[in-house]
Amino acid sequence: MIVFELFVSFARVSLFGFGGGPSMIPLVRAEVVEGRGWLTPEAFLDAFAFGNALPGPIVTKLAAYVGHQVAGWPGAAAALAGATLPTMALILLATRLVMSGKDNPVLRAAIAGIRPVVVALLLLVAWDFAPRALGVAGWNAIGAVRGWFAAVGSAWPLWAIAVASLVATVRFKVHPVPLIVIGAALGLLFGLGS
Amino acid sequence: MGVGRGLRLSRRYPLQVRRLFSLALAFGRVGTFGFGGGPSMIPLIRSEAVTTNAWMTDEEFMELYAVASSLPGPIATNLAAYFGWRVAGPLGSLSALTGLIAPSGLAIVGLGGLYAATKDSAAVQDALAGIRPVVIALLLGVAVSFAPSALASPERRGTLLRAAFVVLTFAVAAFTQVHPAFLIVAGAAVGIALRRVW
Repeated sequence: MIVFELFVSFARVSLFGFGGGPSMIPLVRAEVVEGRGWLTPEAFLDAFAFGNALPGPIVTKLAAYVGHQVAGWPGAAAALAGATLPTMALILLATRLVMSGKDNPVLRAAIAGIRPVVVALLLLVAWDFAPRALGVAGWNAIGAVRGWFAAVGSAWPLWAIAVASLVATVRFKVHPVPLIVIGAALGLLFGLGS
Repeated sequence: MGVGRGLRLSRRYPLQVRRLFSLALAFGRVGTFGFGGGPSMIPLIRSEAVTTNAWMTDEEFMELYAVASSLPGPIATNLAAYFGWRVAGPLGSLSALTGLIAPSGLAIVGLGGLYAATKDSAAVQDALAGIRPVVIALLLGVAVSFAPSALASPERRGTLLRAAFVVLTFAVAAFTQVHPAFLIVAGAAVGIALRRVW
């Protein structure tokens, strides 16, 4: 039952996603790319790109997209239900029972431990995708470092885009949409895909 | 402000129907104008809930936000579900969630169709090659923006320990096939175990 699998996958993403939408990106990838093989790594990266260019919560956008890809509209509905309903039940319960939950020292300690994990997982997603996005064969061998510089030599425009975008997003808080549009324009202008 | 502000169903309709309509409209606006993922939607939700519709006070909203952000799941959808329930019961939750999710859900499926139809063309390949490094930067940007709250500790030693924990988790995740959910549970356990240490 693929529709049911979609529901379960996105429910898992949502239930283990502490810290809001972006913290769930590594979980979505683990389910969709590695767990089920519903999308290739490239297709996932591209979906993340056009997801970022649209408004709304990132996880539900990815759920709608993946669900529709895998099983049409019923799939999209199932993935969306998985991403929203289980945690909705939690918040309705929590606000009723433990509105003071935020002051609970054990819960706070648990979240303090989860936050560094989320940072590491996000870094890992970038790390895994970086070779494909930056025109490098792979990170795997230390001996490849030298060949790496050679690769960077020819792929430098991709690296320049990455570094400039990073500065723009971190230092100047530039919105993702203009960055994505500029990236696309540069890609077209300089034929970066060939 | 927004075009939708004055938009209300006529009083001819039953109160419940009007409430469901307001919810779908309010969260539809959030889902349509909230560019930049979850955090960018919080101010929009606040203005819908506190100013436009007067569902709660600012203080209540802060409390609610604190609870919502310590629970799992997308914060914006959790808040939509909560307000929907509070204003109009289970159907209200459904209405608010639909309003929030439908615009961008439909848009991404549409864009996805366009992507599938054109992704092999040279022009789209070039554009995607230019976009992918941007995506890497955006992902790193998210990690960087999370880092201060992840590393914050009353003591310097705590910050160093948390930074070491980031590195350790990264290494485990990169070199083993462990599922992220397991690492998150492990992180919670470590957080509880070390709560007096870091």
